[in-house]
Amino acid sequence: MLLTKDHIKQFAIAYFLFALLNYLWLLVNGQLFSSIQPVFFQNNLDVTKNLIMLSGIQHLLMQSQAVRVLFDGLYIFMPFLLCILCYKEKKYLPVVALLTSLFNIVFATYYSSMSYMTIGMFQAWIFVPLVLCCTSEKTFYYNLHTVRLIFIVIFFSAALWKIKAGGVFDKEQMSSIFLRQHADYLVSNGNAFYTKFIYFFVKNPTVAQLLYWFGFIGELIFAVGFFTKKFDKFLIVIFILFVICDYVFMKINLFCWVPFALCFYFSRYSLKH
Amino acid sequence: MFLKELYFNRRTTFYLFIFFLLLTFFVNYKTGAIITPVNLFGMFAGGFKISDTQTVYRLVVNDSTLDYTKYSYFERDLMLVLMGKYDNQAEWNKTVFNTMKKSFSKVGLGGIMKEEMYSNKIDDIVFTNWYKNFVQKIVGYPVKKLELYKQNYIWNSEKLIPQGAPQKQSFIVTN
Repeated sequence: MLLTKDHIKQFAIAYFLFALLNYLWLLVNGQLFSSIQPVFFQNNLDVTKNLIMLSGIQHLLMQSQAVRVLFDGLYIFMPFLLCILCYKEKKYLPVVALLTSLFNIVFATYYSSMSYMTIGMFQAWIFVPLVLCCTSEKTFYYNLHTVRLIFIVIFFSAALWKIKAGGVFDKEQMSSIFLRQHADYLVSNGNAFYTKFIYFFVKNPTVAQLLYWFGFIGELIFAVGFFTKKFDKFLIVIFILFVICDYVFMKINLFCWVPFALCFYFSRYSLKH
Repeated sequence: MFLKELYFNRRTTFYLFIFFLLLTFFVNYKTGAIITPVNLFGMFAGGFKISDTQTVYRLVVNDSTLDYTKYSYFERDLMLVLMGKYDNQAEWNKTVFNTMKKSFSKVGLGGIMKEEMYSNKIDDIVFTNWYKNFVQKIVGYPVKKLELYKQNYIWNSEKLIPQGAPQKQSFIVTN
């Protein structure tokens, strides 16, 4: 199928809907800057974060509710603006796409220092807007496939790490991870349904390790995306399953990575030769 | 192959992607600092042992231990991760500042890095009041008294067994 301007618009709308869902979730659960009203931050060994912190905005975020509201507002306004500009085919769309990505880096820098989320969870909000850094179908096509490759590198590197660190070769690795990830649940209430569920996996290392291997294979299989886009719909299914399992078993919210799936969905459209 | 196509059609994007690859390789090889958006994703790559000591924080609200299973995962994380971050922020921020200052100095940026910019001006009383308010929003009732205990546990094939006596954490200032 040929890539048209309508597909670019569909992409922009889908991206905005994902951003809106994410935003509403943060809003409803009182997790925006203006709800948390942070009083401290924790720095990390991150070159970009430390460069951004030269601005001193971290102290403004702790002192001023107006700055926090501004950050919260821009976090949803930028994807909205991006979507509108794309729909109206405005020529400054690439500038706004780039600004959205840069703002999301700044937002992620501070949010990860003042909340419980890690900066890695913001990868999709940083990279996916760059797909819309385009004025033609051709540029969209190349941006989309480059971001798709970036995601494959990220996901595949997690599989390589599991080989290097030896997690895949250790029969008790997943049981140990369950214990570490949920120790506070386990000692808090041994009779709760979820606690019994986790205890089952801790006491049955082979079953737990099977889950680990499934996750590992899921990450490893993404390497196929380096060579062909033929299996992209299967990769979407694997990725969504991975995200759901991470939530159910590990209580880790990787739903904020789902916008990357758009790159695998829209990869089916090709350019005119 | 897509990269070849990219090279001939969008040279800048091609070089940016190669730059991303090189940075990814560098960050994963050095395993020290990251350079957002280039990150290191081990995703529980390995090194955990069933015999590892597990440290658990027990939150006592109005003289009653909080049952974490009654709260969603992010409520648990908000309560425990933020408290843990506060506990080590002073020391950790100093370590990060000293490490990054050394690196930034190599490119002439060390001079503009001021420690006050990278540290918090907060004491335990301010934190406790903020945290109490925070916990109150999550549990949904007034928090009149808040205590925090740290306890180590070891797995004995059946359950987690406490090791030694729980240690009361002094950075939560009990009323």
